[in-house]
Amino acid sequence: MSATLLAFPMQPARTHSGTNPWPLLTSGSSNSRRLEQLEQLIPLQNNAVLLTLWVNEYLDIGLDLAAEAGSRHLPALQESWLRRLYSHLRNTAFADDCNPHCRQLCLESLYQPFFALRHLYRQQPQGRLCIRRLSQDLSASTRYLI
Amino acid sequence: MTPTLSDIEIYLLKAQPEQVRAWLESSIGPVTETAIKGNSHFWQCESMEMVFTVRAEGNFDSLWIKQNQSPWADDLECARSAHHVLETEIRCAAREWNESESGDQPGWIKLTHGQEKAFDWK
Repeated sequence: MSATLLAFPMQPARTHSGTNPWPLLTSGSSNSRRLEQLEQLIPLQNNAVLLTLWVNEYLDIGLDLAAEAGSRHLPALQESWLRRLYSHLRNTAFADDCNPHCRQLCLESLYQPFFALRHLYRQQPQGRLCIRRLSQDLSASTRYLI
Repeated sequence: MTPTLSDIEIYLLKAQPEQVRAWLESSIGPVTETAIKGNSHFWQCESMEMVFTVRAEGNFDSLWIKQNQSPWADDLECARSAHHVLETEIRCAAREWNESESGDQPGWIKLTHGQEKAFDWK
């Protein structure tokens, strides 16, 4: 399976302003919506404590969504959630305007979706190829770790 | 003594499923086709499940032996056997990835014209 061919899971329609930085989760919001919200908030946050909390929450929600897809025997969706986490953290870290703390935190957090993806690929055909490519990407990315 | 890998995965250049099955049967034992889904052939050999996927990566087909109870201890041993019998280029991972490994090291081995060369498959 070629991970690069997979699209991210569909996003629910936004009902809030994309520019609203307020992080509160309303009772009707789904995990996927909160995930999307955190993706917008994390790059904007300069407070180190909040940033750490949000990145941890982002990982928890994303890994839960992936695990849920796995429990429903939907490996492509599971991979897609994990790829989304991995790509977002990496892209955030390498954005020109990312502050150093955010960059370090995102790069340090890459290992979590990476390990989950590696575990998933070990149970799939062409797993070696997927793992090898992912590990090359991780290796290249973490060279920038301060 | 090298520990036996729990699964085996190799890549074969433009191999035919029938040829691959014949090689497996001569090496391990009778192979039964249990299903075909898309480009993937699902085979059973004794208690081993196998998936052969045509053109899994470019011109290469992949063979995944899910539970390795074959005579081969690892991918490279399997690749050597396949290369010897099928006389086509075979590629396999050089070793299992581990955390301390540098991404700069060639991670693959290609067996072609009787030679083994390390390379980076990008």
